[in-house]
Amino acid sequence: MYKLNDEKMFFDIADGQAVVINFTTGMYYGTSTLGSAILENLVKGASEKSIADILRSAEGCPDNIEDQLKDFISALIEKEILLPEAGEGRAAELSPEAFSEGFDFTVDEFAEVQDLLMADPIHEVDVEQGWPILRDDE
Amino acid sequence: MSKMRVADFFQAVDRRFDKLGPEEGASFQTIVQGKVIEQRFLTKENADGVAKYLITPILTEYRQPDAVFYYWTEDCSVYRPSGTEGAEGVWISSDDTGYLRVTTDREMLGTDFVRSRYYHCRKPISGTDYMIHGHSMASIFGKWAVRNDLLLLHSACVGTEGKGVMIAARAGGGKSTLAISCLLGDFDFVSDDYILVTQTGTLKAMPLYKVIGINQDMAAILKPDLPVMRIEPKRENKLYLDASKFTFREELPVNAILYPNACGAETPVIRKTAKGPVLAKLIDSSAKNIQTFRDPEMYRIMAERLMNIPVYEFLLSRDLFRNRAVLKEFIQSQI
Repeated sequence: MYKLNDEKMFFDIADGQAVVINFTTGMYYGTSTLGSAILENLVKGASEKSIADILRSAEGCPDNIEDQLKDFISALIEKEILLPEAGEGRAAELSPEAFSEGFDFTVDEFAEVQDLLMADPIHEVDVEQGWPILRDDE
Repeated sequence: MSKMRVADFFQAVDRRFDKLGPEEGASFQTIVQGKVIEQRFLTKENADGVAKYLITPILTEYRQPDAVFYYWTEDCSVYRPSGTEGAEGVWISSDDTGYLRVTTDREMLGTDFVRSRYYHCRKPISGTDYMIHGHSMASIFGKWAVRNDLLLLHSACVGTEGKGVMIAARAGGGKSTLAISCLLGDFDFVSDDYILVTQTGTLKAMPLYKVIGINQDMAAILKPDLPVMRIEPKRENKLYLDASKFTFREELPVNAILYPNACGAETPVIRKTAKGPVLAKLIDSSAKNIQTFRDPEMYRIMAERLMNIPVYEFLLSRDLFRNRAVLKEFIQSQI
């Protein structure tokens, strides 16, 4: 099973959305509704197997869900959000609301303006390229 | 031809702002933590609207400002790079002279580091309300604060006998109600919603606003008897009241962070709790309100500042007056 790396991470879940902040670097992590529910289960000591069992039994579950779960957990470990811990782990619980956005879940690492990227394409314009210029300036 | 810098852009923005023709009386100066901040608008109505919110003194004689804030509304497409007409997007530029972000025709914001000028322009959809009722102000003050050894946090703060607690919760979490009941109960009071805190040294909270916000049902119980500045129909007619008849603490040391849990406990209880979830909420909520959009440096600064402050959960009963009494006893004897 796994535990939160509380030597480096603040974790909260609000309105079904996980918030993870690496307080040493300021980096912010998020994930989808399903990813948030899975992460919450992992932080509470649920076993990977019990999570996989629930996912497989959900209607519409894609064939590669176990690979997706493995990749998700690997990413959480790679980013030092989770640490492996000895023990069998307890049974997971996933509510129907956890599946409200479908079966995609990845660990999203946010640098500045990542939220904006979700709404609009971001263009980082180097001053060498001639912006900023105020177009209507005399 | 010399290279354009972000600060050059903002010099041009200043000229454009002046050409837009600000009304007479559409600016004022205030002192925040010893710094003179000039706030400029296009209309006197907007200037007066924002000035009414501040607890900080409004100057009657001109002084050379340490910083200038600009707030106005117009179609922001004029600020985006040439050749991007019709495109949706966000354009960002930054260098050692400033930071600039333009979102299609909706918003332009940025900072001129050289001249300490801060800009927030929005498309006039709900523009005036947004500006007058604090949101633009929180955004600009937040960016100004971090460059002046301060932070703007989304938190209430009250205390007694020279000791204080931050009360941190997301919107609707009960912090304002608890803080306002403390204000009415002769606690030391800093704020019910936003505080400035020192970035270094002893953690102290300072007020920015004199307006407090309270739900109608809580107002019926607490009976604040304060002038109503406005009623917000989008928030179930939440009342915004002028609390300036009370004495606000100019600064209050912060000894603990409290997370209110409106669980309807039989007896109010304050207990130590894991800091991670509380600080994640506080930092995330603060950053969102000042529109930092996941800036790692801002998150890191906030986390570092708050890491070593003890964190408690406050299980609230339905009796606002009992809650207040328990909080007073906690501050007096436990921290």
